[in-house]
Amino acid sequence: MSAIEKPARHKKHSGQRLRVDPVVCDGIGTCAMAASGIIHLDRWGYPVVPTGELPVRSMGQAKRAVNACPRQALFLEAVD
Amino acid sequence: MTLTTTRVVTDTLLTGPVTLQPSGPADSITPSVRESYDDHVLRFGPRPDVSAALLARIEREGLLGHGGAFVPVGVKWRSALLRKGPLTVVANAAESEPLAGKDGTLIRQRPHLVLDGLMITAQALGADRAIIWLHGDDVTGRKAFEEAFRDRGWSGREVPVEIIDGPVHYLAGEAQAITRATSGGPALPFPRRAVTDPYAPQTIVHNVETLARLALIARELPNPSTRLLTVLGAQRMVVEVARSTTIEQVLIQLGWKVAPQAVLLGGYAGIWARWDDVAALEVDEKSMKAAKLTLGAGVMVPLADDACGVRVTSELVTYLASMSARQCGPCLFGMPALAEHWTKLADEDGDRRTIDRLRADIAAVEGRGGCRHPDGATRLSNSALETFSAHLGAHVSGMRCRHRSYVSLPGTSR
Repeated sequence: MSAIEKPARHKKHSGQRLRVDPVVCDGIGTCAMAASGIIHLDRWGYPVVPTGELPVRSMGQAKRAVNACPRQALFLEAVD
Repeated sequence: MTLTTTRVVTDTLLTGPVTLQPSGPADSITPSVRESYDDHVLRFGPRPDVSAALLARIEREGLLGHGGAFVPVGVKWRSALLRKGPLTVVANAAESEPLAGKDGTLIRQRPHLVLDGLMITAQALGADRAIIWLHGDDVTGRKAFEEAFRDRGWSGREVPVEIIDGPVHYLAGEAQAITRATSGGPALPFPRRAVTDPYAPQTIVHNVETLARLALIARELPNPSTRLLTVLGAQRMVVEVARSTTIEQVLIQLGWKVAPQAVLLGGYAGIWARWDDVAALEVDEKSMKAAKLTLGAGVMVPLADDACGVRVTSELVTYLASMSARQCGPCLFGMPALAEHWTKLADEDGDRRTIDRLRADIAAVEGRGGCRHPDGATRLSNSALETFSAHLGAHVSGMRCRHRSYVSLPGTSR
């Protein structure tokens, strides 16, 4: 190991995370179709979204999922 | 009559231990003394005038909420003082936990101490209204307060006080459900979205035991170092014990002769723990917390050696599933799924795969609800899987469960 630590090769982070309001969500499932790479449905049809900060490359999908929701239950939120 | 100001220093909150009706509101079978207003003033002195300066003393005393979540009262007061909207203060006497009876007992025995605490909070925070929130079926609790109002000749109230009967539902005593109900909504817990408008109306909810302790602190009397407990054994009892009492000592005091196999701590959405792990623990929340446990609102259910923990858990989870707020998918579908797995296990209909499915569904429900209600069921399920792991083995391997003694839990199906 070198004496000086190299900065971690970080993936580009977006500073945003995806949230679902479980009360508004009706389990329609369009989000999982619009963003199959990051959202999957549990066995009752409700979305499981990534909990952490989204990498920049996922932002396109995340925004598509947000726009696709007929209940507007998905939203993007700044990570503190 | 001249009132001499000889203050009798009190070191307990209750006037005495009681045995309660097996289920329902905290109506006692044994006689229970209600302190009159005259006795109350004689014992504690009149209600002191207060200001927000009381906050410093509350924080020095380290007063925590006694509804089960142990949020420091100072934290609630600070956030209420920061915001500018009209303020409602609530005395929460709705113990919606079917077993719990310590708050109901307190308001029946010392309603004036609770009222003092409510008025002190309202005055210190400059509240616009005060509410006493009761569980819908608590008729005697309501009477205790109405009588207390009459006793006081309640004319000098600075803040309008109303008594509200909430619904009869497991979630009716949850602080956010009350907040929502007092601002015109349904009495259901909030989804987790923060309010940002500083001028929005706000509600601060304190458990009645917290308010009683606050009323003592405001008078510069010591905050009793006791804990109120509801214990379900052969009978449902409310006792007040020193915080240094161990769980074993509590049961001995209540007449238990044989050690139970496990204890359910904190109520229906609580945690199962093996007797050997908790017998020597003090009921003080600090020592509970150090063992990664909590007694919540002070509810304990010892499980006799010949009772089936799997059966009891299945009934508890079924009950919790039936008490859903019906607001979100994980609760509406996930909780009944958990209940189904547990029932299957209890009926000896399941095998190892049932346990695997149960674990998978616990993971699918955990943390994904609109409120914390589903998390209570997953926590209970996880602790049961661990505590009764050996016995579960008998349930899934075709060896018949020989535990035939039954625990009668109020509210559940049997």
